[in-house]
Amino acid sequence: MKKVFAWFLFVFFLSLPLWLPHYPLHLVCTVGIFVILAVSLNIVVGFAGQISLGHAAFFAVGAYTSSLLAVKFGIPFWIGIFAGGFVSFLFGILLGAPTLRVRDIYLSVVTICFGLMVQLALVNLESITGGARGIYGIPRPSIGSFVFVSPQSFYYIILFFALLTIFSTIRLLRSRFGRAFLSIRENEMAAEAVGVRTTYYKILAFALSSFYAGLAGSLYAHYVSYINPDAFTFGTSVDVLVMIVIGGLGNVWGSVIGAFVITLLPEYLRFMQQYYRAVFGLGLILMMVFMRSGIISALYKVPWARSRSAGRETE
Amino acid sequence: MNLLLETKRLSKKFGGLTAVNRVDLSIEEGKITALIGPNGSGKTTFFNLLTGVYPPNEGEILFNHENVTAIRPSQIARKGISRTFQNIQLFQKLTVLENVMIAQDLYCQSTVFGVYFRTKAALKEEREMREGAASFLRLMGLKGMEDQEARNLPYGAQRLLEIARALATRPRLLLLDEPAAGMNTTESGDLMSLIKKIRDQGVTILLVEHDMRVVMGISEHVVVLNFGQKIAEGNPAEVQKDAHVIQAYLGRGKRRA
Repeated sequence: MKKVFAWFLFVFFLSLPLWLPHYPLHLVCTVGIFVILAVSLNIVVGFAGQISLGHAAFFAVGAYTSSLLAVKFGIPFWIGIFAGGFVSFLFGILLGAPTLRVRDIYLSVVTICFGLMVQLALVNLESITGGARGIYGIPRPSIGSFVFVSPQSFYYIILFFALLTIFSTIRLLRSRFGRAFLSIRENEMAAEAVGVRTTYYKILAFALSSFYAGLAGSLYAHYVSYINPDAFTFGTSVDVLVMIVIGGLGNVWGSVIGAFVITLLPEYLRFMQQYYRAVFGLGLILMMVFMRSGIISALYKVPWARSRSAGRETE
Repeated sequence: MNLLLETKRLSKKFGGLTAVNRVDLSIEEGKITALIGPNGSGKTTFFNLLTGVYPPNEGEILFNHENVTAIRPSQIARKGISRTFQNIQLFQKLTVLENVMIAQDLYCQSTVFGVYFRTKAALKEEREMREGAASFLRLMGLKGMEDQEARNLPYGAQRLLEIARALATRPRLLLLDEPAAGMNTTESGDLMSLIKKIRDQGVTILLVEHDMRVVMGISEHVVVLNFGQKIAEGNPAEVQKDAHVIQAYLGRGKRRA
């Protein structure tokens, strides 16, 4: 039953560009990018138990790295995206370091400041980043003479990287690394006492999470072909955090669902005009009140959907 | 006899309170040593010093003749000292098996790369870790509970799981902080034979315990702390007769004046 459902979903998503109109497909592409961001943030917050409110910074680092490589040096997207991931990985190590000294509310302040610093740097390092105007004319990816211009074709690149993120993260989290991350979340003192090098794993969680966020940034940049600092604000970091909380902390599929809900719901509430933001906010509050451990936990009450393989929920 | 652990003038102050005051302690390899004393005498603080939870204000700790003073808890575990806690500290929402597997992390070799690409070595290691963890659970009589969440185990089983987890690091010295707390007579009797079994496998044991039946029943050497100072040591029979010990536990008799 579960296998059939999984294949149905796969075929459904594979066929989307064939029948979905332009604008909804564009939304789904946006969702795909946010899926990568949410799944990656979940590694740090849901598994390692470290709060982060600066995820947009890594999204930005990936976007700017691969855009600059493409625009200034003509480096193709296929290399640029991994370069973006790698540079973001290094920034992740940088942000991971303070987690060794501060935690909880203090860590959230540090991560917010980190996000603001990166954004300020993007605005002020005009000679490199183009300042507030950003970077124009970021080339679309191509294979041979085929260029991925339309959302219909770019969709498949996003789908590929989203699936790559989801399944590689599941593998990571089911391994010794996932267990070590969870042990820090559950009881850091006990983890240390049994020989888990918590400092190493915390930095690793931040670094790997940042790598994926960097991939998402690069995808975004080459998809919209124009970036400026406004796309990488504190608000973006908060959105991603809301996605993983709504979906269910510590569950990979929860993050995927959260990305869909938080990206699509406002679009479908547009008919309420000026009230839609208020209704959206109220909806989130109600969800948190009645489904504290996220949408995914509510779904798990359906017996055939139950699976522990993708994660471990917090409450 | 090899001296596995030695502390020299080990002290810890919290503000004006000296919780551990210049304690010299030697533990012989292969023995069961008990650390006893009234509440607040510094036993748990002493454990926390040994395992690197706090750095001492003074003194040093030698483990197998190597200075291990004030190094990180995870490094201490890697050197071969493992512990349980007075207040149970399990990974509550993880399964029993996972709790023990995490304690084998120090033996894991596989890399992020190996995990992503499911290399043969990574899969083999994962399988071995699983089997290894299961064998420690069997030893502690927790077979059949592998997939339960730790928080759902009965209290006594949680204590045993903590010991299984501590053993999974394959320590040379095992520190047990009140392992029999909250156990009934049958359970603590079983625990005593388990502790002896662990010792017979070559693990040296230092335990803090209030249950005198357990202390006198299994330990070969007893050290008594009071107000952070060592006031007596010897074999169980000697310690029971020691005037300082009786005074620390029962108070000074009036007639003596």
